[in-house]
Amino acid sequence: MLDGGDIDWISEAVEIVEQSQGQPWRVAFAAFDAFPVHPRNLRALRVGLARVIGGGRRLTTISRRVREVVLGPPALDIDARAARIASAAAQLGVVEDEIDALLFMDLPGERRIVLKHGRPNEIEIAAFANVALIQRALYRAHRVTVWLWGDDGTLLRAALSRGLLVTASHDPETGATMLEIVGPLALFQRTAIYGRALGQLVPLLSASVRFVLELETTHWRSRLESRRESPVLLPLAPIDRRGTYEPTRLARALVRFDPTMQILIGPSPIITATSILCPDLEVVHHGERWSIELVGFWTTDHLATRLAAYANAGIMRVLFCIDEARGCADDETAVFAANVLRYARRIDPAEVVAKLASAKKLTPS
Amino acid sequence: MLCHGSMRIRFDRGTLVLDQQIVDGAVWDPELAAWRVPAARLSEIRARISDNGVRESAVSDTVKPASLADGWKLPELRWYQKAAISAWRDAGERGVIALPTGTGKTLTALGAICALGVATLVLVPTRVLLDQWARAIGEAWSFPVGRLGDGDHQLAPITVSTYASAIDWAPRIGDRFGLVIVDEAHHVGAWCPAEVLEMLVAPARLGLTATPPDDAMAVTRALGPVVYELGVAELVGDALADYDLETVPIQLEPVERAVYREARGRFNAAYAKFQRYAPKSTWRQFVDHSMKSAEGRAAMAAWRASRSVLAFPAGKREKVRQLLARHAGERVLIFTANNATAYEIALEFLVVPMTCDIGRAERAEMLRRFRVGEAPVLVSSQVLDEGLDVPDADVAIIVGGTASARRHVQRIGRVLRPRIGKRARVYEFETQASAEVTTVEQRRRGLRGRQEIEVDLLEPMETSVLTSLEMAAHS
Repeated sequence: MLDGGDIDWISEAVEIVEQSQGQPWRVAFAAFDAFPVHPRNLRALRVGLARVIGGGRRLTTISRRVREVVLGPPALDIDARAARIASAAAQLGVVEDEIDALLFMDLPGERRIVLKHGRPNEIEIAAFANVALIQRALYRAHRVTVWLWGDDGTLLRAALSRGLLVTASHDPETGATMLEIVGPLALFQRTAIYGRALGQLVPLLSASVRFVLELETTHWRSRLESRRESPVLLPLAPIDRRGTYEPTRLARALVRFDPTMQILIGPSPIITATSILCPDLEVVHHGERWSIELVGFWTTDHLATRLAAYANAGIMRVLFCIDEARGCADDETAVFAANVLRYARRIDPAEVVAKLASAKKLTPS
Repeated sequence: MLCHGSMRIRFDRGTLVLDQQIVDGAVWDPELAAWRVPAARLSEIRARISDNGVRESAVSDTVKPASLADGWKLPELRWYQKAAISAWRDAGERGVIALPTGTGKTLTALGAICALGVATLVLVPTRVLLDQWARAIGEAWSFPVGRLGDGDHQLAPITVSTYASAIDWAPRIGDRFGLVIVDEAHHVGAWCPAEVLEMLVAPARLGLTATPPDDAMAVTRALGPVVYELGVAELVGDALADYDLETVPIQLEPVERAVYREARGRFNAAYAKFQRYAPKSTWRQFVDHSMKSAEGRAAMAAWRASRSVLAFPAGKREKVRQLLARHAGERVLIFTANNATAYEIALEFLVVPMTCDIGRAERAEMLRRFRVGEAPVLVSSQVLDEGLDVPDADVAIIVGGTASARRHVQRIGRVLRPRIGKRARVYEFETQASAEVTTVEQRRRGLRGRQEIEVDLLEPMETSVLTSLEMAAHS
């Protein structure tokens, strides 16, 4: 990981970028190749620079227009080329000397360096570069274990929303929440197909006070384990909208249906000695506090186990919303139908409210 | 493992969730209290259920890809296209069809989709091909075509997806298609991860390629074996135009030669040292090793510097000029080693570059201008290599590239679209006294007939394998 010891060469890279303003980015990148730094860190630096400085498509309209006018049959000598440039400049209303620069200025490899906000900050660049380094390691990972301290459920929800399988537990001795994250296909084989989804979780690591990340990867047919742990320079965690979309939609629908309802989206996980429970919503309705979980694929046993876990955690008012199309075994949910709302395609807020009125409090097992 | 009573099959995130362990390799998911297998095993599971005599009514199987409505307008297929589809169907609707570039693999695939009549997912490597396939399907079929990639997220009974988008989408949509087609199928196992295909239930699988890979294990496992194959040599004069291939020797100028020698010398010294340390190592292993030391990184920098000299030296610049003058008015494709050289040529001669950085609408306009002759020269490093439906061109100038025989065959294929009276010209630049001489020789292997290539491949094999092959040849 990049840290304070890397600030000197990052600063040197930033100076090169400053001196190369107006030239294509590839000129600055070519100068970086001479740094006595591992290529992996140079790649990460480029990502960090792109994130901090930005490099989005600029001048697309202008450049494309210039290409339409200028490019055509080959100009085989200096005079023919000059004549075409002059004609194009007149047509476009630009100076002839600008045509060459404008032709490909919008394309990624040819974009010019523009420091709109002045000299970029080395610490910020290093932070985004570290995200890139961890993501790159994760792209080849087939299993990830994360220990988190002070986590509010953000990473767990984000992993689940990306279709990953997560086994969550709590270690009372260390106080850490442990998440084991794989993709479904990784149950059968070592695969790095989920690397990108795993990589998307990296920016959320800084939402925790402390973390340890262990990766299992395959390199040249050898199994490798590697570890990253805080303190690591990382940018502030972004708000992960994707992790809360479905619950957010239900929450909005409930509030529209019953404005007196108080709703908390993504409440803190409930940690017990044996499990971690992550309800999607916490709802206060007529003075009663309810935990609502939007269940993905389910079996009767799965639901029963989770309901028992809530009861044993002292959470007595629980409602599971289950998709009828995602039942994976014979349906024996009648036994606890009072705490289960079945739906097809979309959850009806009226049915949720009706269910809350009739649902029973759980009893500990 | 017997299936008793009733059975449930559900699709979840690229896997099938089963309430019984009906096949080997099923893994117990304790969280869900059910069994999981990769989605691609659906056919096997259904066969096992049937073998066990379980009634269809007792199976709750929600994995049912849709059938296609009838709405096809296909042109008449050529003899080899019909033969290819027939061979594929005879092979159980699983396998790879290998036909040279420009012989209508897309149309062959459309014929297969029409014949099967089931919802189909087409996987392509690039956004350019995504666009091309969507248009080709749209011209032949009356209904909307889905697109995943290049900013689009639309699903339809026939959907085209880039490999990259398929990685994200396969877990969600893997149960919707009865046929999956992989264009440029030689990429399976690499650019197109085999896991994507494991997450799809589609029992019917078709791979398309101009050049099957030497190591075909990943492709065979994911799609099936090559079921039909024809090479360039077999179709030239029939489905492909005849052509002449000319080597253009290039001399470096003294300054260029000095820079090249110095850089190459530094690289050769480091590479030779590594080879002594690890005699059977591959190029890839050398690259990985070189990243770990300052000396190694300097060697790679020297290698890049030597390649930079060869990319577009003054001698190549002048030859491009001469050839463009010689073929003024004809449609010319220029192939380079990298995008930077493509832009350099475009800037020098004010011709159109075709790279992956160019947006969809602009690409389409460039190809239109090329077709009608307004911009009769296209220059590209990779985009024109694979599958892109380039309008009929007469001349190919290969300024630079890798030693990949596959890529070379595909490049030349770009100018072999047949036309009455057409004889295409291919110019291949070869910088003298440089690594490019070996590069050119290696990539030309792909142009020889199948017989000749097989002989070359046999040479390094062990005697025991050779013996078994000889026996097979005589049986």
